Amino acid sequence: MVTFVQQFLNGLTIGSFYAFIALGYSLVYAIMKLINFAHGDLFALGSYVAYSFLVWASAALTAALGLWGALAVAMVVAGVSVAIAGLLMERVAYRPIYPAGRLPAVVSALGVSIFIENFIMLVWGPRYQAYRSEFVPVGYFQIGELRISILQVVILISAVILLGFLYWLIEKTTFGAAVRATAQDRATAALMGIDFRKVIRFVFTVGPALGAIAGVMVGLYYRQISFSMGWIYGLKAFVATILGGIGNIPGAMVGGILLGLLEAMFAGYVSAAWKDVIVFAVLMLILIFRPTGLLGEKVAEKV
Amino acid sequence: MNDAAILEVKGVTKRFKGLVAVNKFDMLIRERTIHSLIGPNGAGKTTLFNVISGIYRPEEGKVIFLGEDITGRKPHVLVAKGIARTFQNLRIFPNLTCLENVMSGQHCRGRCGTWSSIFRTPRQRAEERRIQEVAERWLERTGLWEFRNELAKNLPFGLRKMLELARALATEPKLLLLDEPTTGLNDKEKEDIMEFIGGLPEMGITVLLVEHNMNVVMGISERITVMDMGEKIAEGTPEEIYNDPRVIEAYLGREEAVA
Amino acid sequence: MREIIAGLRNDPRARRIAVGIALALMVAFPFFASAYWVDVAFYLGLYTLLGLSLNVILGEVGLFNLGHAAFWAFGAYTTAILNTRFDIPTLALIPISALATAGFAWLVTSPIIHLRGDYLCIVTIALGEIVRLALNNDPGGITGGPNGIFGIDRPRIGGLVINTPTEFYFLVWIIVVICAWALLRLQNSRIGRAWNYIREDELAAECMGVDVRAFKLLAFTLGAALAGVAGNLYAAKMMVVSPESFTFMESCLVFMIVLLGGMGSVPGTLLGALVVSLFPELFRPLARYRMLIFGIALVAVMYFKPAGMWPRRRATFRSVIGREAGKA
Repeated sequence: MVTFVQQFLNGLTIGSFYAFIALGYSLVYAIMKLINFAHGDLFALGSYVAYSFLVWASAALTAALGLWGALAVAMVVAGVSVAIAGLLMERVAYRPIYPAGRLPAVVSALGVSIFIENFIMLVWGPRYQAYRSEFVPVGYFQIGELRISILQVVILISAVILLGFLYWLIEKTTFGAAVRATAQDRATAALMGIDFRKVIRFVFTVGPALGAIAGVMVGLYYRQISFSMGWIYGLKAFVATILGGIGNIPGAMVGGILLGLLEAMFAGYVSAAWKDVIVFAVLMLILIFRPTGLLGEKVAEKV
Repeated sequence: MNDAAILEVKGVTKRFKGLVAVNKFDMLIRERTIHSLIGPNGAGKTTLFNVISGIYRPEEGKVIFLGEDITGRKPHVLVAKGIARTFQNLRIFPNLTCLENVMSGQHCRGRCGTWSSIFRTPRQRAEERRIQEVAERWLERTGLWEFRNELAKNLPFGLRKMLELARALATEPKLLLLDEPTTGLNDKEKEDIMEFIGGLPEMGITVLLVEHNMNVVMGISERITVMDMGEKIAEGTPEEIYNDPRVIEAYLGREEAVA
Repeated sequence: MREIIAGLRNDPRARRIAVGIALALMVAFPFFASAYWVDVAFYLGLYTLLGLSLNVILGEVGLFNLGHAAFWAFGAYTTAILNTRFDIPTLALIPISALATAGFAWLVTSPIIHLRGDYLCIVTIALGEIVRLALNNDPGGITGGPNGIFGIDRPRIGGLVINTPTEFYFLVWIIVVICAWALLRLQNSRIGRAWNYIREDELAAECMGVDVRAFKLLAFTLGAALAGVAGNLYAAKMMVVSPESFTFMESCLVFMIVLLGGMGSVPGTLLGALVVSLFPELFRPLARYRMLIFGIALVAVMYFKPAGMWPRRRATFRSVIGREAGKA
């Protein structure tokens, strides 16, 4: 029972990382029908930016705002800088190439991915970096044999708040309706007076920012970060996106959590070495039987 | 005049998530005729069309082609059996030449596989020659000869429509399904294409023509089936249909009732 | 320059001479170049072969396959296992690796072949990862885990052992030339056209009588077979195979070879392979920055040449009913 609860919580935590990253994929895909291969690397970039910021400023900030305050500031800094990087990426590598078709855009995305990964490696070095113990909260609750770290609880609570906010923004507000309309049919949405540029800017601000926040959380949770971690997290998050139905915003959240739980349970009860194999095998099975994802709508081609 | 049935639709029903698009539909098409299927927009014509050409599998009912039950068979199988089609919103192969586009029709008449294609066996050469010959003849008949080496996407719209027709004819069909062949054309082009279609029964090709515009099909069809809300509401010769009150109601009635 | 290229396109004799000169240069190359550059040319040949194999799937049929390394790995491991365990000569394993990889591809792609576009793309990525992770986890002790398998024999023809860079250079390029020749012939045939119909419009192709499913599977198995051959050559050259050689990055590189060169273009694939495999060599002085520059270069090529650097030009057929344009 203890193992189960422990693994369940671990699964929820990892799942919320995936959900954060998956949202970025799904938003971009919904609007541009493009798999943004560079998204995972933006996530890694966020982790590194926050790392450097904390190394530079954590002492002063902790003294002024306390450790949690310092971490919150670091997240904002990482979120803002990565959002800028995302907007820049859209402007330089996607907007000029998008009209040429989807395949050139995919190659361009791969190019950006390689660029960011190597940029991180050049700036921060090819070896692992560790989030220092002075800026990682260490407290935990002990309930019987069960040990729950405060960090984990804070991650989960902020995940619920952030994802809830996004859900509200996209499903309940007028602006969200504009985003969804553009996802459905870009031309018609434009005719109805929706500013496509604005929607694009939104997507390339919020997606990367969420990715960066996930990057900071991963850094705090695992302590170790590497320049190449973007791609495996990116890939898993993409699996989550598919699970939820690509382009389906709430689906991406649910898909992320489901994937995290599946992974944690499999690692805890069966085999840690084969857990990624299972993740990908499940993905394949789902797509074989439900070609548009678990929650995805069935889109029949118009004949 | 030949009275043998080429295609029979028996009690076909097709639903989409509970919405009935085609309801217990019956229709019989005789050989070497032009048979039109008309009805207002959203009547279910294209859905029925997709059932006949094998894209959709009906929930109920049967489609019988030359005495054989072909319900639910895949489109490429039906093409080989002699049913070809065009699309309402034009689906040519944009980045291939016109000749290559029309050659696609002969694909199903070929047999040669990977190895004979690599080694260019005499049989493969003969087959390639035949495929090309049939395609060229259809390009000639449809007046597209001079564009044969042009990429299909570079043709003007009217010619692309014609190209799609040539491509379907290159399959050597017994039954040709045309989904709104005149949409988007100017009057001259409309006239040309309808005249061309009118000549098809003489070549032994039966035509099923889907249209929402009644006037287009009046002069050319031997029989007309009228469809509304997924059901058959009338069938007969053009004169009968023209005077049928139910048809007039389907086309005009509801608007009048509102007005 | 432009006139020369146009001339080559339109005059079959000039084209034959150009190909002849290129082949002669290829034969002469190892006798002038240093062993280092001959080795580079071997890898260029290997990537060209991989590019050609993916070109069948991605370029001709338009199936987004971002897990091509799985097939390459399957061929390499088939060769490694059969050679080290059963002493089957590596050269004899070329057809066996091709067949085994084709069978593997048929098996794993049959259930997913109906997926479209991006969904297929993501499943092939997953496939690539599953294969790599499985090789890494050493199921049943046959793949040697993260260390892989070593001690693979050199290829032998009679008494000749293929050992030096020059010998490997000739081995790989002879195979590349044969494959390129075969693929060019397939392009202008019923098979190649059917693939292109599917790429242009899947539904229309089906409605024109192309068995879409069968032809997609054909492309996957044929492409995988060629990747299996590349795997065999790689294993024979390195004498060791390990999972880290078959990462997602490798799949991406091959994907980029096809798109940089131009979808469905055989000479384009050669050009794409040239860029991808020579880039790191030419930018060696910039060592640390070269992949960074490579990333920028990808974006730039897609901006200036979205259809690739050497896109395929559709063939013009000589009329068989013998009329001239306009006189019909």
